[in-house]
Amino acid sequence: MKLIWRTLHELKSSRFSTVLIIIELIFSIVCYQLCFSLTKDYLGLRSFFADNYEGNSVRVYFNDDDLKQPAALTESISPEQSFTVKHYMSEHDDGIFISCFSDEAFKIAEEAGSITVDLDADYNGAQPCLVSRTIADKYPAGQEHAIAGRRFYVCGVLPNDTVFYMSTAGTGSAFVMASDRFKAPGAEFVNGCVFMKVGSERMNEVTARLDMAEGIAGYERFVPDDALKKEFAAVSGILIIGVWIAVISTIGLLANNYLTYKKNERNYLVMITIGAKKRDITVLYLLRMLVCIAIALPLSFGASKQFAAWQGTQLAGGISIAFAVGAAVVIELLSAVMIAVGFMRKKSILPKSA
Amino acid sequence: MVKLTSISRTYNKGTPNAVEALKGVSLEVNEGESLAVMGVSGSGKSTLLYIIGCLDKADEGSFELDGEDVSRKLSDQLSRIRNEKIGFVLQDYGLIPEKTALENIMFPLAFSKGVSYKEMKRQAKKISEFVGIAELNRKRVSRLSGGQQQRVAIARAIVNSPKLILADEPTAALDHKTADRIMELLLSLVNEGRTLIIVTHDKRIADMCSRTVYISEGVITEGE
Ligand SMILES: Nc1ncnc2c1ncn2[C@@H]1O[C@H](COP(=O)(O)OP(=O)(O)OP(=O)(O)O)[C@@H](O)[C@H]1O
Ligand SMILES: [Mg+2]
Repeated sequence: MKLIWRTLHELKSSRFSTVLIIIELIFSIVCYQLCFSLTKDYLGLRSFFADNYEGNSVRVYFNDDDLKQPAALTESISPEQSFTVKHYMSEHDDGIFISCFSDEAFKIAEEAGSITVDLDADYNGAQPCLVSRTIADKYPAGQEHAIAGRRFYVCGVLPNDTVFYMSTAGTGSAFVMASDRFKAPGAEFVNGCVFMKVGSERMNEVTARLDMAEGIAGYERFVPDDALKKEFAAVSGILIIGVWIAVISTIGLLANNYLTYKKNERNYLVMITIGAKKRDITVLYLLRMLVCIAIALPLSFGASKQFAAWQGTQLAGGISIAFAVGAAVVIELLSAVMIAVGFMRKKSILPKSA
Repeated sequence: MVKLTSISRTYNKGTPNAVEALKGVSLEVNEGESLAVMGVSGSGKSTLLYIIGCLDKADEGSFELDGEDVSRKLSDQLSRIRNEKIGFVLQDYGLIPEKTALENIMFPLAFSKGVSYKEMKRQAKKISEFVGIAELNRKRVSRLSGGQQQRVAIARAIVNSPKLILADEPTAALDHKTADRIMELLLSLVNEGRTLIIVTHDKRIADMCSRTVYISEGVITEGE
């Protein structure tokens, strides 16, 4: 009862800084979350590029909510279910991979006689697309083109018998398109290609299978296209800003903790003068911090969710929220404990700092 | 009640800016006595009071309080002694400005053992009435006048019924009339059998006490 009374007074006597600490905690958590999710994207893209440079494979990352649905096993699905496929790779010597700037561009490409595999809402608006040899010749890779006024960019040409898969940044499920030779057991062979929906649990297996396939096939080097390079630059750019914001909010958190302590130091020393033990004061201070954290946590979960929703699904990862909350709580607690230890070790307890 | 024997205190000892605040001070104060400590600014009055109040430790010498040798005690034990035996009226009142007068008065009890919350409140109300500030109970201390704050500080100092009351210039910021009333209050506590040690610059105030000592550059002299 008395401890509650003391703690309430501690909270009340520095109401403003308590509220400030809570707001800063929430802000930090949102910042950290931004950082973590960007880091995830960044690393995803990094590994994408690394794979492309080293493995000679063609991998396109994109986000698609459909892909995140847990199809537990490698599951063969009919292309009509998920894709608009007019013709298939096997009918032609080469396929071509096109990145369009919009869905319309895609439709137009279709109308122009190209063959599309529409995976919908992909990364950066890029649309993978299979076209005939003639169209491939008409729109050389590595250049920007226009069909009926719509611009699109051709990233590269896939040789026949190609394996390529598209996945979210290494964590989600993936769509895999492979030729007969490399299809997973149970996968149905449709018109020369296999369309598999791979649950995230099977990612490793599929990746291994694909690595093997790539090893056998020996592909041409695929140079990442400019659009992806831009995306990469954009993500790393935001990441740097995110890191700065996180650093600033961390400094803010630490500074505010320290200033709050400094502001209250005289009161603490007065309490010691009237008979409080140093330990009483330390407990009081730490309890206050715990209350702040307890209030900030649920609020910041809400704020992070809102923020993630506003940012788009890319940032909605629960893991990054958890990381962010963990980081903020650890920083807050560590600084509080450091201040508390500093207070415990303080030599002079004379109440004349005022 | 208080027995200091050859007490020395040097601030920042062993550094170039060391200050010898007290040099071998010996002083005995009996129970029920009211002692005024006088001296010019910087002579070591507050330092002496902090040592007697168990807030600071002497570098040399021995110190007995209420028959107990306190010079070797641990800080938690000293906190206990401060809480139970000593009432401190600090130089700048030392109140917690955001809290009400009653809450300030309650605070020492919040840190003492075996006092319930109810008891805390009851006791604090009783004391504030005794000191004559019952009508200020719910006011925030930062809104009170100097004299009123001084009364709150005194109420807080005596809420634990300490045997020893230490007051560091309790009347310095007050006009004569208010100062007299504060002194009246403090001396009425002495009449109840408590011991009072009061630091002051004011000869008039010192004359109200039963005894006066003078400090000059850390050395104490009795009487004139
Ligand atoms: N914490 C400290 N660190 C270093 N020196 C100190 C400290 N406190 C006091 N002193 C020095 O010790 C000497 C005695 O100080 P003290 O506060 O006891 O004086 P005082 O008699 O109470 O003066 P005043 O009348 O101005 O309150 C002074 O020279 C002062 O500068
Ligand atoms: Mg002084």
